[in-house]
Amino acid sequence: MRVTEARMMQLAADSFTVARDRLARAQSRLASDQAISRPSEGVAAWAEGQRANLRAQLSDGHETAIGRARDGLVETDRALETLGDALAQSRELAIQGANGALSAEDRGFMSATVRALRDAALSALNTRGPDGAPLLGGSALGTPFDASGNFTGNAAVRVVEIGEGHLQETALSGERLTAAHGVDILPALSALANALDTNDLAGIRGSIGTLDTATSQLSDVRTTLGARLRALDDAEDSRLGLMQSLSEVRERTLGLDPVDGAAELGRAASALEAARASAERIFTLAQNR
Amino acid sequence: MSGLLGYLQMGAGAFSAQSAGVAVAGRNLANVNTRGYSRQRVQLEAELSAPLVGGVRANEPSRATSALLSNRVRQGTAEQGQQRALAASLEGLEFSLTDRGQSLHTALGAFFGAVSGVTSSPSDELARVDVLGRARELATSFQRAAQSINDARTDADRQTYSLADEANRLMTQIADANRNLTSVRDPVLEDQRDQAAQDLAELTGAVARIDPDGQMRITVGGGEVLVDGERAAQFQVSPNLNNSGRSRLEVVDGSHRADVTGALGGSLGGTIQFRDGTAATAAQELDQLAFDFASSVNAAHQTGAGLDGVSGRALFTPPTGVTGAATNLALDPTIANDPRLFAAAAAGAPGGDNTNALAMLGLKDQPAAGGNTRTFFEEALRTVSNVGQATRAAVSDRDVADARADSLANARDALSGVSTEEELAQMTAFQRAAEASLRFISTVNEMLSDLVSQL
Repeated sequence: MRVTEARMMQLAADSFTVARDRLARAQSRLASDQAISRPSEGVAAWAEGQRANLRAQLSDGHETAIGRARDGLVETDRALETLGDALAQSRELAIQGANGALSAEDRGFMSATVRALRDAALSALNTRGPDGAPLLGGSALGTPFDASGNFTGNAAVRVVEIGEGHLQETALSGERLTAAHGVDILPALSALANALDTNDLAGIRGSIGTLDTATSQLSDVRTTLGARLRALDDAEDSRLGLMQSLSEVRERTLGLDPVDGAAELGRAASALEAARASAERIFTLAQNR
Repeated sequence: MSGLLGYLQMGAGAFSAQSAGVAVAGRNLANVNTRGYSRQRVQLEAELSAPLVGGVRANEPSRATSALLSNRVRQGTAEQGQQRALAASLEGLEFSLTDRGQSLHTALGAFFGAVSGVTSSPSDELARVDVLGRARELATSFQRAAQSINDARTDADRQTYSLADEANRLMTQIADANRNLTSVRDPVLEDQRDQAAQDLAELTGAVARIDPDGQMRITVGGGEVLVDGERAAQFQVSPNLNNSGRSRLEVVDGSHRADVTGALGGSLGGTIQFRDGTAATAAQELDQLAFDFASSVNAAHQTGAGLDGVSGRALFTPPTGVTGAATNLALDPTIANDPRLFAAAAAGAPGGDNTNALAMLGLKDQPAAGGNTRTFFEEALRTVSNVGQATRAAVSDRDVADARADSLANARDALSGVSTEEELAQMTAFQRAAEASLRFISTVNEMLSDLVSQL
């Protein structure tokens, strides 16, 4: 086919432009470490990568939810531990106080001790979390236990999404420490203190059984708390596995294999060099004519 | 003696013919880089030799062209113009919709992530501030995406005005060339007319033919006549109220007026195809998504209560309709100024309740978009993917059209292009022949002189 010099030079210039654009694209991909940055470069891969990105975004939210719930339950467990200590010590005092040989003065000292233990437990059970909400108030925001130890919150338990499609109860309500589940624990301590104050031996002896029931009731609550903590730990383990998997998906769909990227950069550079040399030769030939 | 005089005339005619060959070669060399120029060849024709003179004469130079090839080049150029315009517009739109960190689907994920934060701490002011901030960013993302699409369509509109002006200029040029060619046959004028027709094809996809009378006639999609001999129609661009004021193209010739908006090829056709096709669909899908999203979130939000115990509030300003829903999506100003009003709790429940926030979070998994067939995220992804798919197809078609146009350009150059070496060789050949003719004239002149001196 007949080819004029002008056409040859135009083709040489066009080839150089194409090679230069290819090199620019290869450099851009290598610098961004992404093989696919928009859907036209691969619709299915791009969409799959974006879905993985979304799941990772939501998983970050799950991590926060798990962390907050965990912190809340750990604080709650500390408060329940304080209550447990109070119950154990109060029971000991009740047993001692039931001894008819003690004086009213002795029982008075015991009463003060029981009241102090009750007050410490009350303070612990009214702890608030970092967000200012009470740990054991249910969904109510007021102080869960009043000065008499009566529960003023509600039985609602916060449910939170801690994994994909995984809803979990992540708190406990102080309602579990009331007569609805056994005995009103804090008032039971107050009743013991009153019995000690009034030398009511029958009342003191009766408190021992009540405190046993309270201890068993508290044990159930702490068992539930432990189960929820384990559920959170399991959810976090699953989440970490999911994040690893999502990272692999993102790498596979959107990421650039560095070896492939470097190889393409090399090929593009070679193509540009060849185009440049070819153009130079053609222009030299034309000049010599 | 009369014979010698005849020889003298023959020599002069030969010299003149060879000189014409030199001139044509020279003209070709002068136009080696002229766009659209077709190399010319002088046609030498031997004179009748009876009784004994003969000689040669140079007819009008002919152009090295092919009507069939010219037609194919115009078709290829039209296709190339259309695909280039379409691909360029789509690439620009896709880039603006997927700019990292500003994409709609990323903002959707961030919004639901913030709602998740409120479910963990419904009374925490920081969590509430975060969710309102993300809601505001999401609304901005919708607005930005809608603006990107609208800007792209507006740019396409502007282009139709300028491209139509250029097309009108070319049509007038072709009609003028037709007029001038009725009185004089000028190969350069024919080249210019051909080039104008090719440029017009690139702009509009117009089809040209040269009739037996030598006049070029041009029609555009649907058979509308743009140029008929010395008469040229005009493109008129005006806002189409049935298409949101977008431009409409009409071919106007006297009292005849025809809407050709959807019937054009070339750059105009590609531009309009983008504006009224993929871009229009993307705008509709985005508006529908914004409408569905705002409606669903508002319905969920209204069933819950803020920390003040009041329910029935919408989170976003309720959309009045689908059209414009994306552009107008905005956080309700009352809630925007008071995070406490975000309805995380169920109606009537205390402030620590997160039931309603949990219900709003659940919207992310519900097929509440795309006619209740897809989640909001999937619909956002689909809208952008559709633009990406169209871009990919357009880029591929553009590359094919470019390759075909290159191939046709090679074919045209092979036939009509000027080769410097060939023309120099031609010039040398004609120069030698002219020198020989001068030698012949000189010889005959000497013979005449000898004869006269004998008389």
